[in-house]
Amino acid sequence: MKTLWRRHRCWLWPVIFLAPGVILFWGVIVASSAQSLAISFFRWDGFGPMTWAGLSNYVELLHDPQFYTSLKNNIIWLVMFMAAPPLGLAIALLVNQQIRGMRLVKSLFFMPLVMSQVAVGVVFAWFYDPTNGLLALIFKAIGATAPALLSNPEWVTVAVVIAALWPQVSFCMILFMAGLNNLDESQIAAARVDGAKGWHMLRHVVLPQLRQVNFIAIAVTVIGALRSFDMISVMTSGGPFGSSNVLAYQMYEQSIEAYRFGYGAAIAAVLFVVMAVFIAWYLHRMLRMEREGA
Amino acid sequence: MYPRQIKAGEPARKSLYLGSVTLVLFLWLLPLLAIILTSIRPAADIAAGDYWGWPSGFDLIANYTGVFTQTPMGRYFLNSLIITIPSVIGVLCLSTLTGFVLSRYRFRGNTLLFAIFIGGNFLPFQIMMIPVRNLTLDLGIYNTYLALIIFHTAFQTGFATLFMRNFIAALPGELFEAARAEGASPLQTLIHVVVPLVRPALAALSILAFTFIWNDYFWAVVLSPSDAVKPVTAGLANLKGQYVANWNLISAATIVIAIPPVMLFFFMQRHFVRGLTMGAVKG
Amino acid sequence: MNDLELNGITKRYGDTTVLADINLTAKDKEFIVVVGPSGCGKSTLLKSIAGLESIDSGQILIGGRDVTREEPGDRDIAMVFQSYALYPHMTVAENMGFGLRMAGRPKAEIQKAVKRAAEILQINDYLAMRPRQLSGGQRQRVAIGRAITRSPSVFLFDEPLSNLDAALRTQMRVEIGLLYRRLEATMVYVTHDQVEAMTMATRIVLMNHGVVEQIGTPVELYTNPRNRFVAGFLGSPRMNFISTRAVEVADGSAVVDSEGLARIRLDIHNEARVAVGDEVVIGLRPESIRLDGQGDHQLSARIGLIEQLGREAIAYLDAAPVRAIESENGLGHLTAQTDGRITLRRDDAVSIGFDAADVYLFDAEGKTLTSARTADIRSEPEMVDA
Ligand SMILES: Nc1ncnc2c1ncn2[C@@H]1O[C@H](COP(=O)(O)OP(=O)(O)OP(=O)(O)O)[C@@H](O)[C@H]1O
Ligand SMILES: [Mg+2]
Repeated sequence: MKTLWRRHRCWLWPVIFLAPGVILFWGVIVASSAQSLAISFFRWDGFGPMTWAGLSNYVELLHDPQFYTSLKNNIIWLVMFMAAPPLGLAIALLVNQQIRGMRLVKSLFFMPLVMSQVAVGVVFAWFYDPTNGLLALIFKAIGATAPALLSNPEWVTVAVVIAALWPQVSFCMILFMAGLNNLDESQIAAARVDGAKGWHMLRHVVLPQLRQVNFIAIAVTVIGALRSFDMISVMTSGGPFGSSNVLAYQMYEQSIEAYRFGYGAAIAAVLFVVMAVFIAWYLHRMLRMEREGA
Repeated sequence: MYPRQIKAGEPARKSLYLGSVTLVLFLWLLPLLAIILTSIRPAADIAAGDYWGWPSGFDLIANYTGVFTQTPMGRYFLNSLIITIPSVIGVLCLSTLTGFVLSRYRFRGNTLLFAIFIGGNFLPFQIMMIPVRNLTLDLGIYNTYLALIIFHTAFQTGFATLFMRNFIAALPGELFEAARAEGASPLQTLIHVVVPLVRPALAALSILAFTFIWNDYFWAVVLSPSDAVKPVTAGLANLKGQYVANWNLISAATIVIAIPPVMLFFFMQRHFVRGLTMGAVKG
Repeated sequence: MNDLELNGITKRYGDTTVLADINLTAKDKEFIVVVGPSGCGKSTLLKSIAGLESIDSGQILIGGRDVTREEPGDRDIAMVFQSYALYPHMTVAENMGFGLRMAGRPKAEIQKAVKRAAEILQINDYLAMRPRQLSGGQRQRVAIGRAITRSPSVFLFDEPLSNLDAALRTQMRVEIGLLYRRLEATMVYVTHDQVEAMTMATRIVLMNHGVVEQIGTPVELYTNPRNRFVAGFLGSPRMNFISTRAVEVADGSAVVDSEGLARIRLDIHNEARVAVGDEVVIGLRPESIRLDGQGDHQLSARIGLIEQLGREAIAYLDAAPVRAIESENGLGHLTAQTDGRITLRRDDAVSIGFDAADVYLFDAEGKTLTSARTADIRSEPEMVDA
């Protein structure tokens, strides 16, 4: 036994180290994702027997106007969320000064990230409140009546996304701050000697060095946009009349509230495909960067 | 440093700068300030529809004790701690192990394994809802702490593995070769070399993981419908429905639930940016 | 018995062969220096000996024991890395005692071994410090101290001095030499610095593209290089190579001729490898070219550049139509090394001379054809008495 261990320990150790993480991750995350795809081919209420449904869930999806609304809203989320990286960079640049007290200022800028999305949602819902909210107050001050943003099908998604951007910008800001900390001083100094300033410096010297951070910031932003759930649940529950719904929330509704697990899983599958495209792009870029770096 | 640093000899510039930063910060934190203000506002103000003016009195203690006496927030708070702390510890342990192996051992399938950790973590986790719910039902842990602990540990391990693997890969390889040449077994290398060197990464990761898990709402709703195990986020959402008129209480509760991640953040801030720089940004 | 024996070591990364059939026997207490151009596989060879890289075929014996499949820790070796590889979170003493601690040795023993090593390297004063508080030279000492603590049979060094400045490098070089005499262990030392190779080695292993080009004492390699690569690699400035043609091959000698050079008759050891009319290359070391015109052969030249180094001077000579191939300055100039008290200036015309006995002849494949000569250089590094 002992000699067997001695002979094989060089590969047994790494296997033992990997095992718990891999087993848990595969057993819960990978298996569930795969199973979700499988369930989408069944009709199932979550309790009784599952009946084979073939592609009928998907066919129904294609004829479901709510699906298109959700998809459209997901795209609005994605597009509007893309404002987070540049805004995060702007704030990071603003606070990147070594003056006494700046450390506290930086930490305060992080606060929205540390707060839960539920809390953010609760607060913004209150802001948007047409009778007592801050927005109402501002409109009253200029002699107008505040629109009821969260019950307006046109504006509701935009209003929710603005609330969601608040923590997301903080997240990007943290990443860019770490990136700015890590700039190559000699390149900056050399560019200064060559007379580069302001925008030119940012564009041609700083941003190229922030490529890696940029990449991560965009990745977390895309993921954040496609995962949007908490805010919608807290602020609008998808309403009014599904006009602020997104795929993730619609899936939850269909499964937990309407007991249509197969149909929910089909929505999940669509979300999965959208995300898979992005993940493939991410992995491709990351592995390429790694090979270049090595 | 970019942008150009303000020098000591430019007091006017410095004041201008500090003034503008303060203004931006004020606007940025306006939502937070509004909640803080409301959280110390007397209930009478709220009843009178005075949400935004200067409070007629300061009911800080009354409101904050109210959170714990008038609502089940105390219970939720405890639940959140019981769920979050073991999950964070689990994530740190598992990801140190996986990150070490994936960054330091060459074997076939290494990249694939790593890619699956990343890919799995990037998925909108809502798509796992149905099978995860069934899994916990089958294991008989649905509506218990364990269900949430297991899910959060598993899910965050994906992200944490990415983080730790990049961090360890950025460490000088000769340190690990030296340990091996000195006769340290992989376990000894892990304990005596890897763990001390990855402390900054663990600090950064613990903040992120804590924040993510503490603030989770989706799984709280899906896996723990009962008050006995419900964490603060789901609790707050409930509160919003039940105490519509008591904005001062809801605001105080919002502040209360933000306290643990904020404190953790302030304690470990120094390590946080350093760990993040090495783990995420360099990697 | 601390012999090290490598039999047919082969290592591949995918399709590229990094080490091809390396054979080497290092006797007990030998100081083997492995040199070669960057990327030739020196580090890979060292890591294979250490067991940090697995090999595709071949056998490694240390002290007569086959360790090919053993873990590095069980091979009775210690390795010193170029970047020192000190653990930043441990004190100097902890760094040095790490190996013994991992082996579960008693505290007292570890302390004694650390103390002994620290005394040898004179780093007692730093034992409680962390690596980042030390200078480069001190860190290197600690790294060596860490190796000594384990008293291994074979020491492996991977370019240990290349991160140090010139003065410190010379000092450490001498110290490692002394250490070697004191420790009585077998050492394998990788470097790309030929001064280190020439001064420290009992034998040099010269590698190129994963192949051993030649193994021998420094003087042997210098005076009797087996081929043009070895001849060109050792010696600074490099040997001058001039392309010529064989015009006569007979009776153990060959005559070469080319424009501007008189016919030169050279003793060769293998007539079969050259035929009349073959393109061949002759080699002449810079110190064999004399600027006073003395010698069996003369040719006229113009001084292109003088590099004055004080004790000696390097002259770059335009001897057109005679041109050096792969010349140091890329202009086809011949390089000559002379006394520093030279009075010649740039553009002066000189008559340069050399002896046929100093000329090397290489065949078309680069193999040395001229017969072996006896070294007239003394001061061979002596081996420790066994
Ligand atoms: N992990 C690896 N994968 C693929 N090729 C490698 C790997 N490690 C080294 N090589 C290749 O093997 C060859 C030998 O590398 P090695 O590090 O042994 O060279 P070296 O002689 O030590 O060079 P240097 O003097 O620059 O240190 C190089 O061509 C290198 O590109
Ligand atoms: Mg090397």
